[in-house]
Amino acid sequence: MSFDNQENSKEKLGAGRAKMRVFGVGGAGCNIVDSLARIGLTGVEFYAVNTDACALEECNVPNKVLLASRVRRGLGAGGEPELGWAAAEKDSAELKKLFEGIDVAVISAGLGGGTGTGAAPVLARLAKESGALALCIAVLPFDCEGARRQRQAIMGLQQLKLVSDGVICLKNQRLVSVVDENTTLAATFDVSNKWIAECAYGVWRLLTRNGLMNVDFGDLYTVLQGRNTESFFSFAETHGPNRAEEIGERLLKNPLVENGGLFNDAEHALVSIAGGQGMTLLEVRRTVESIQAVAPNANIKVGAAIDKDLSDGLEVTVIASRRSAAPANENATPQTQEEMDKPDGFYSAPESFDPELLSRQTTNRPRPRVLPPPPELSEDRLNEFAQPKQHSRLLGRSQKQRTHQGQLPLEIVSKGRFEKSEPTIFRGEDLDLPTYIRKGALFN
Amino acid sequence: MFESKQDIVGLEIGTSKICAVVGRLNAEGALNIVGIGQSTSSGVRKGEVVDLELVERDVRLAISEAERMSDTEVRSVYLGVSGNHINGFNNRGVHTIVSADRQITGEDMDDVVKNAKAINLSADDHLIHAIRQHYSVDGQEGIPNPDGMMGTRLEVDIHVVHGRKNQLRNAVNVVRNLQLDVESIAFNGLASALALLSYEQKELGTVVLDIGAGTVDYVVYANGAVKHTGVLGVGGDHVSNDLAIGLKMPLGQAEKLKVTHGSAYPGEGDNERKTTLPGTPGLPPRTVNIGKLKQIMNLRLEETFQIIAQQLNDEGVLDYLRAGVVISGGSSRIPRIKDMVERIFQMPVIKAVPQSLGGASSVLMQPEFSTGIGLVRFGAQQRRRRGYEGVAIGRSLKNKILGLLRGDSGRSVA
Repeated sequence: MSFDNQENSKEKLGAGRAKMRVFGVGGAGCNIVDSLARIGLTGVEFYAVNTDACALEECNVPNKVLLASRVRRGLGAGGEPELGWAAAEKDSAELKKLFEGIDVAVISAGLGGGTGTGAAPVLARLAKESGALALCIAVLPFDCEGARRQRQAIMGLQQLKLVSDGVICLKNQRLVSVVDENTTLAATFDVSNKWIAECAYGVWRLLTRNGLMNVDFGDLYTVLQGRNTESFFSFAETHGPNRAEEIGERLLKNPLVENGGLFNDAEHALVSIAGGQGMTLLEVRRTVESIQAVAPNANIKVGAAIDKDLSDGLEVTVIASRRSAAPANENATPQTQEEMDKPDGFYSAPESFDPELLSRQTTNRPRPRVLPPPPELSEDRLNEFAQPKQHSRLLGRSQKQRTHQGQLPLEIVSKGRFEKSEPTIFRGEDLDLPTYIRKGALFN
Repeated sequence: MFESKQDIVGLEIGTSKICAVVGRLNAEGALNIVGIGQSTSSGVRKGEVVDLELVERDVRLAISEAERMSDTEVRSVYLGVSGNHINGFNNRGVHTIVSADRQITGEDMDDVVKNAKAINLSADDHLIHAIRQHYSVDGQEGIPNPDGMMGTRLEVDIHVVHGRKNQLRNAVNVVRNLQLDVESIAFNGLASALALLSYEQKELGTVVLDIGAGTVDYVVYANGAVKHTGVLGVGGDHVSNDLAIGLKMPLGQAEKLKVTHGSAYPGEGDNERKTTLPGTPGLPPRTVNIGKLKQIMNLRLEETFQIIAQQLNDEGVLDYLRAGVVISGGSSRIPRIKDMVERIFQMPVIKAVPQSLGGASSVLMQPEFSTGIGLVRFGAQQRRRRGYEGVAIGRSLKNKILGLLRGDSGRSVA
């Protein structure tokens, strides 16, 4: 399971340079890999994986994998995640070979379509099965791409989160405010790709440089965990004597973090600082302080590394996450034992692709904050639960993963009589809510 | 119908009940309570009017009952106001004595108070009271009446009570719609203190907690003057609401349960005790665990008093309270609430009922009526002062017209 895996791999990472491969899945994923390949990261191999032969043809990546060439005849998945999933599962034996002997697999995909949504989780799973760390960079579609695509994307994201060690999730919609309105579509997607390439580059540096103050995959995992976290990312590089003063400003100037506004409600932030041999403690402190000033609530983890190539330069990567305002049903965490044990595609590994997920609407009733006692089970039912499950191996893994992803539901408790009156707020607490709920008192 | 100019009517528009109290000054100038009218309030939340029509209906009921009982016609009222928006703070005014002989005159005293009242309240805020605390002459503090003293620099401390204009206007408009005059508005907590505290208690230092249905109004007296006032928008309604949510029952039923079985602390063996409620038609009767009920109440009440204690502590007035805490209001009837306040404030607690007024005393000796009776007292004091002023300055009529929005009250209140 992920944690053991992580420990081993951390040792491996510590021992030497980690072997890393970057996979682009689906149309968007291939474009991302394409731009990454152009930057060129030392010691990294790039792979493009797609069901669409034409799109793959245009990609300038040396290693190309066409999925399910015989079944789909290179015609793409047509926006159907089931087809993407089936195609990847079919070729899983060959795909698995790609992950042999590597430490980190970065899988980038645009979610919402067919191949990216369906195949990326399979790749992530295969990577983990081969003992590599699976880090996914997922891009969510623009709002204008339609509700179904959004839903597919959210579902794909959840599947990804279940099977991979970390998911960096970026919203394309954020680009709308960044690019000016006359920008062409191609240029917009270029921006998106560049942005993700920067992100992957940042991660690569983070994991490969041996730091004086070390940041490892575990820290990255802490930042990215959680069912509903939205991650964001800022990267800046400065040179010269004033580098520490400038870097904070540059980091916050990045439109992708809304001029630093996003940091305000960040819960976790990972700050990785790399500098030349002359880097001083004061510079590290200044940089961190500038982040702390804008992210007062964040749990900040700092890493610092010396890079001889940087001479008088300073490079800082910040990856932060916050709880996003996603639809209510995504907030639901499995709470009753029955639900946990249900071999539901939602909560267990995607052994089979559950098309029901697509039609699942936001009908889940928000759960009460105070948990009801577990239902009493008869002897027979208990035995039934105790029996080993059909997919025990996968279930075992996913169950453990669930323990990391638990989070308090955010639903609002009724205020009864005071529902519509002006709330009485005292030091940030709404006194109209029953005290026993706010204090979490449980009665026999 | 008999009508007398001497009648003083206090009207309290509370969250759970509306109460009109009629007081009459007898030939010797002593105040008697001659009538009282009550009605259930349904258009008020947390001390603030939220439904004008409902409140109007309820006020009419209460006033007509009071009229019947006292055999009088109510023309004008002293209106009590409350709500979370009401706040108090202290201010100081300075005045230099310019006259050649350096003797302080009444005019100087008026001037210094005027200076103290020149406060920058925001446009939404309305000044309800500006209460004189003490004068100081040339740096010597604590002079109650400097008239005729010698000095060059006269200062005065006042306590200012202010609230949001719109909320106050809502209450006033309800009364005006009934063709009644509002002679003056008064903060409910201050009115309660007037009805409850003795001279000694004010001198020694006391905090009055009027625990109503919608709010807890508190007033701190120290060295004979008002030191601090405030409102916390939490009251008995919140207790009922917590119970309704926690025990999953309608609010009315929760309210009844609170009255019959409630307590501030769970007792021994309460966890095993149960009470059965008649179910709504078609449903079986329900059983409620007394222990759970009391625990929900305990948590809410404890939190409320802790917040008030904390606020008083932040204001630095807790050390002035040598005569302890006086609790009143409907919710002070909750069993063992005295123990709870004693434990949280760490000082003696008195459960007080309004006193020292003649009239239908046995009916009036209830904690619920402290505000209503206090309003009558407030009115009597205002009258006495105005009457005096009316003779002296001849602006009694003007006062009456402008009285509402001026909101003046002075030494007589303190």
